[in-house]
Amino acid sequence: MSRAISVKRYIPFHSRGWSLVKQVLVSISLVIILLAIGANLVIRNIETSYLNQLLEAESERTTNLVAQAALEGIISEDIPHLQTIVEQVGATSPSILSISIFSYDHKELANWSREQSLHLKQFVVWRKSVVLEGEEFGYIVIHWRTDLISQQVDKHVNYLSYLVLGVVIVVGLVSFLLIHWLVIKPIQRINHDLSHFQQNDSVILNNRPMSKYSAIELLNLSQSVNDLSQLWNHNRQRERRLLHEVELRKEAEQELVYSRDNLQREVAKKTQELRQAMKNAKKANHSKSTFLANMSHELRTPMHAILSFSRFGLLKYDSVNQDKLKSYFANIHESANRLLLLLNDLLDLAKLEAGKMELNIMSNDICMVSKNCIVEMEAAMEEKSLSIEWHCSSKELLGKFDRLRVAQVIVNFLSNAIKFTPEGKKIYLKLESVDNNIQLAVHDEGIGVPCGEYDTVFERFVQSSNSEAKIKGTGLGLSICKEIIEKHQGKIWAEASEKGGAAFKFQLPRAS
Amino acid sequence: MSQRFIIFFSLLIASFSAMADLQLRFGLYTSDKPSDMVKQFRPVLNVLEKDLALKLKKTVKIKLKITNSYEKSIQNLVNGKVDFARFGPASYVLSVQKNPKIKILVNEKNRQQKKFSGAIVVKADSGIDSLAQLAGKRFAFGNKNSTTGRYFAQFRLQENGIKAKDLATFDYLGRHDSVAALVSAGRYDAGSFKEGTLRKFEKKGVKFKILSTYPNVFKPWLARAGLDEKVFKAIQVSLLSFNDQNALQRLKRDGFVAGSDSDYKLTRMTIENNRQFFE
Repeated sequence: MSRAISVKRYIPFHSRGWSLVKQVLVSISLVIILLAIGANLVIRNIETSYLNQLLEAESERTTNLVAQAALEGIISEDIPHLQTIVEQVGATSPSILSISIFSYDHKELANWSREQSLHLKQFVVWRKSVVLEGEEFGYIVIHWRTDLISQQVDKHVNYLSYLVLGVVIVVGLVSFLLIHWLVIKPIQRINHDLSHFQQNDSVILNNRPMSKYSAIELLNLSQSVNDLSQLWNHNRQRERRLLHEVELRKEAEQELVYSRDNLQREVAKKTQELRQAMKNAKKANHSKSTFLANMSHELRTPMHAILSFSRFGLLKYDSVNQDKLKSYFANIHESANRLLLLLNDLLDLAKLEAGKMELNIMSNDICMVSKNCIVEMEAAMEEKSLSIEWHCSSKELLGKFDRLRVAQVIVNFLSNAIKFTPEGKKIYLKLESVDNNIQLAVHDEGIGVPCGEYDTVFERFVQSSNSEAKIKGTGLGLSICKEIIEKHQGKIWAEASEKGGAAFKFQLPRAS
Repeated sequence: MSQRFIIFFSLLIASFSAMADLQLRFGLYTSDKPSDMVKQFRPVLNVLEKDLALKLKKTVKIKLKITNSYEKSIQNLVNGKVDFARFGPASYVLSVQKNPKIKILVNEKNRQQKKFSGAIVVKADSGIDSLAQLAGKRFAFGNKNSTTGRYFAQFRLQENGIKAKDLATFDYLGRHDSVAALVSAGRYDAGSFKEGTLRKFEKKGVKFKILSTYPNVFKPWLARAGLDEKVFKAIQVSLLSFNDQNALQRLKRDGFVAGSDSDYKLTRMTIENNRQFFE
């Protein structure tokens, strides 16, 4: 018995998921994106802050200039002068949306506003109080548009963002190339070696040298993988040997188990057979004892009658009349006949058991044989005023059997039926073909056989419990019948009859 | 929108915080640069605020109300838009003509340093040495209501035989420093302005030639008609006892003295006779 040795792969290799190159590429891309976004935000913040400072400084400077220029006018509330100032200042600075000058009590002294100021929503408001000697004489309110600043910020931010993005992309690309050259490629080589090793299990690794620029750790890792692979190969070979040994041991063990089980089964079977043999032996011994006891009884009874009546004759031949002597002789004759009948049965049985009874098996018509048997038994039936109904399913039923011995069986069946059927009743003999057999059945309207005794009636010296007290018999007839039928490879059995009594049946092979 | 709201709110708070128990408005006209006027008068008013607060037992705030014309200032006082004011003599005379209930609080005192109130001036290199030579020349006067800038100058010219029709042209330039500036620039051949302006321009290196000067005049501090008597008295007493040297130095005065309408007879007469200059 040979079995394929399965090689378990201990190193997991995954084809799903992202490769290292892809991961690094995506990571660097993410970093570039984050850096670009972050740089954009920082630049925008710085630029906005810077430009806001510029705007603030310019606004403050302009507001101060306006305040300075308008100081005299505000103090004296010289409205034409103030109006001239605001118009001139407003015209010179495109960032100014409107200028208003108020007196200290919030009365508007002068005002100038750009036409498009109404449409602009991006602006800041600066307020400058005009204070002199601690007294506020008024204040100036200037609306500064910030959309120009925002545009400027956007322009600067975009320019710087593109610049930063370009730098970051170049740095990222260079970083990727360096990482690819120094890290990814060596790792891919190690991975390839391991993969190759895994796919070709016992193949020795390709010991290609790593680049001299590779990191010490990766060189060590590659060396470790090589060492590990060699160790792995060694261990795999050892493992294979061990596995093979284990398989052989398993097979041997299984065979042992199989043998043990067979042995156990054989022992159990033999034990069972022995038990059965012992049981049979005990039974045979018991049967023998019973047989001997019965034989002793059966032989002694007619012999005792013969001895007794012969002694009576010898003793009383001169004192008794002729009729009495005749009855003595008649009893002696009857007992001798019974003894002879018994001895014949014993002889037949002994022959059958010893296999010395020779059967003259040939094709015979069971119908004809059965009719002859009925003729033979007519006198006995008439004595008890019994009638018989014979029925055959066809004109003839041919079977392979010894005509005389089977006739002996039929006569025995009929004799038993006559014995156990009350006077005036009816006996039925039925012949039919069943499967490849011919079947004969004798039914009676007698007392029948108690349930549970249909098997034992075929044993020697066994009679139905219903008949033992009243019906005389050797108790060997049905045993002889059983032996005869079984010698013909047939089957014999008894059962309750639908006619009220018992039914005795046998089957014999049909003649082809 | 929110920024406008913040401004409005801050102004509102500032307005409330600036409120005092008694608010007085002090009127001036711009005989000089308005900022110079503020620097000149604010220290005096600051001291006066504190003194009045002590006297009246309430917080006092005096707000400067400087107009760019004599007429407006006079009108403010006449109409009571300012509680008290400091005018020149001519403006006083004109104010009282319009509202006789205007009263003099005090007169400024300046006896130690000031030599004259004003002068008729030409450029040093103009070649003009006398008033008589001004005939046919361009003349710059100060404000139409100015005592030294107009009335005294025209009176003096008239005394020396020069009338309006004798001048090639003349204009009222308003402020004294404007007159001095344009004369120094050569736009006008001669001009009339106060002594203080003359000194200021001379300090800057401008060289003038004085053809004539006018005598010192009182500068009155006036109270509007109907000013609370207690407040009037308090202001008057405070000013008469005013001795804060720093403030007086800024004001370029020695102090204040009690004044009366009789102090301005000359001025009134000059104004009344002024029309002869134009005949």
